[in-house]
Amino acid sequence: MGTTWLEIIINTVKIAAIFVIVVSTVPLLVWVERRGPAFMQNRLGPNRVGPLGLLQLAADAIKFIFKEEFIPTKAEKILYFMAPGLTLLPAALTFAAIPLSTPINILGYTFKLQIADLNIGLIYIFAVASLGVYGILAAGWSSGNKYAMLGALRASSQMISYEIAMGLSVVGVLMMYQTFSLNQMITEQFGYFSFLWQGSAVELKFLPNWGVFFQPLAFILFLTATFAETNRLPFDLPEGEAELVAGFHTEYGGFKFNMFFMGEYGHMITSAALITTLFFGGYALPFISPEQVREFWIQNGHTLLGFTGLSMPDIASVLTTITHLVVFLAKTGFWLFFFIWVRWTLPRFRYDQLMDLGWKTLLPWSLVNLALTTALMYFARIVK
Amino acid sequence: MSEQLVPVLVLTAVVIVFAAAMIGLTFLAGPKRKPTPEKQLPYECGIVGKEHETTRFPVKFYLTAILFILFDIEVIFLYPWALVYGDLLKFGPFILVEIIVFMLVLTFGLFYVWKARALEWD
Amino acid sequence: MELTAADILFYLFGFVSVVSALMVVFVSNPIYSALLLAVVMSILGIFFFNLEAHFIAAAQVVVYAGAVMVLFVMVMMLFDLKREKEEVARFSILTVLKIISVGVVCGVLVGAGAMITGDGMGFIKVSTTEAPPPPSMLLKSDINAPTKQTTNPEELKDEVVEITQNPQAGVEIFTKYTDTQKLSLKLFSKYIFIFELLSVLLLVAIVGAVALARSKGGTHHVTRGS
Repeated sequence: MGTTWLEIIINTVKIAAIFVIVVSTVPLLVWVERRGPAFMQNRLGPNRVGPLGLLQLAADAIKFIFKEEFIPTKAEKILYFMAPGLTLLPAALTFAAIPLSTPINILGYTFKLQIADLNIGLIYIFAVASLGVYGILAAGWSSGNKYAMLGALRASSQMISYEIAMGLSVVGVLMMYQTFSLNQMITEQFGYFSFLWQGSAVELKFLPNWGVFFQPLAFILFLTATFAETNRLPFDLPEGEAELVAGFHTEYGGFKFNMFFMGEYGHMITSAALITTLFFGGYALPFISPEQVREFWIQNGHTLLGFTGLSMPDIASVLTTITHLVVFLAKTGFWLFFFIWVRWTLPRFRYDQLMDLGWKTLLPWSLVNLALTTALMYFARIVK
Repeated sequence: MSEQLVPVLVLTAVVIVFAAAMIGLTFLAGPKRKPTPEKQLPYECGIVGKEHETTRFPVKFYLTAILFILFDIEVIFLYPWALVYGDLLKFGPFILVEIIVFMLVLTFGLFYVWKARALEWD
Repeated sequence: MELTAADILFYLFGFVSVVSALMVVFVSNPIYSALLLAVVMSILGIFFFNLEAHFIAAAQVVVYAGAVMVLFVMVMMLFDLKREKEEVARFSILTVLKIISVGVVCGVLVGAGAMITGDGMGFIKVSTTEAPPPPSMLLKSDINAPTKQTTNPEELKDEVVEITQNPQAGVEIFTKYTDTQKLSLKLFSKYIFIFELLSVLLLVAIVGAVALARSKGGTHHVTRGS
């Protein structure tokens, strides 16, 4: 967290700011989720409250705060109040390891745009994501409603089944980059598509060096598994409207109910960010490495930020960071839109179809991906 | 290197404060009405549910959880292997043979579970 | 005394984990016990991270807190545990005596083990000449004993020869390895037999779990016609 007091304060503010921004992105996502698919379905979404209906979500959030707090008689009070927090916590913690942009060098300090630069980044994300099951179980059990309990059990069984597929599909990516650190993985995805084949370097100039071109099967498996992990349609039977009323959050109202949705959308944001980091180069531009972007800004940066009076390298560093942050947000935004798009396009899976997909399709294909990557790497490293 | 974990703990504190503040806000701002007996019954689509004798839950949940533990451990073992596989290939195919043995045994386990119809859900 | 991040983490989470562990035993509702045990497992992960064993920390949280304890909690929620709750909640002097005697036996065993191994296992001081090592450094030497913290190729050569029989190619790779990769170096050379044995152990567990769930008509379709 830094050595001087200034660094510590700025880092703390940075952590709180990133968290607040993620929480505030949730209403924006819900707005996209209501307006975008409305156009897909040839109707208008919310368009009365505020311009384009944007204040609808603020209105909803304020409404939630003013709802009555009631507790069912059979509920276990302590867990009933803690369960929404237990769901929100892993969703927020998983976002901590994701690098949002290049580090800024200002006035002699270096700040990373990342809450925690862990050297076990990827496996930390899986560790914390697997703790998300407790919130669901606690919510379902503490409601004192046997249908909520059943919904919670089904939701948690679904989550744990797809965690294996998720973990296994990423092994191929790990074999390629040989590191858990997400920063390192992004660094290895700069430039053009290149690899070593039996001692000689092969470079294809029309493709960027992204993970999706090395591991397409892993990408498809990972994408499907994250859909199921975040309980998004087509995998949202545990909270499906026509099934067990609302599944594990039947007995929740007001802001506690909202916190479950914040947890789900937070998980979705982290999954989209993880997909861009692992497979699409993270915050980097397709063929251009951040060094080249920095060079560009050293030439042209003074026109934009010259008025602040910072030195040239500092201005270049700030502008590089902003550029890469915009790139990261664009990529993540596209994948978030993809999540929403798929939700409103596909019908819901039945529960046994869902579990079959997790255990009998994704898991074997992950093993196939692992075998293929192993074989290819073996043949690539044989030097004649 | 342990200081890498400190931002995570600060984030945990921030989230807990946020959640507590929100719940406190709802507690202060929401209307306080007397709870009627109908409002506090467990929700069952409008029907008054009968007091349950011990509900019997299917054993599939338990089986899924146990199989999850075992395959999760397998995945955890694959992670350190994946990190060194590329480099250790320089020293011969031994690292490949090791993992083939490991994965064969566990793939056989998956095959057995599939054939024994322990993965059926309906 | 300089307080590093490692020390603060250790003392803070040491306190929390001890309190949680005591509550596991003394709370009457078994589900709260299981959830608190999950908390203890996660904090053990933080301890491992503190001891510079990063991969083991994540593995601990993934496997123990994220899989094993989920199983415990799920199974506890499936049963009706009113009778067990009442039994534990009843305070009796016999329960307290039982807990105290278990603690005494454990303490005696640990002390005997420390005496036998001679060096006091690092935390029971046999000689009083030096100050005890700070808690976060307690097991660091053991964890780092397999591979030396050095970048000097000469010193690393013995280590590399033991692993690969080919020191020349190895040294420049291994100097840049993180501790997870050093762990896997050891795992796949020196302890490879245990690794393969573990796969067989997992297979045994898989077959056992399926057999257990099948008895008395567990998974359906089985009891008909078999």
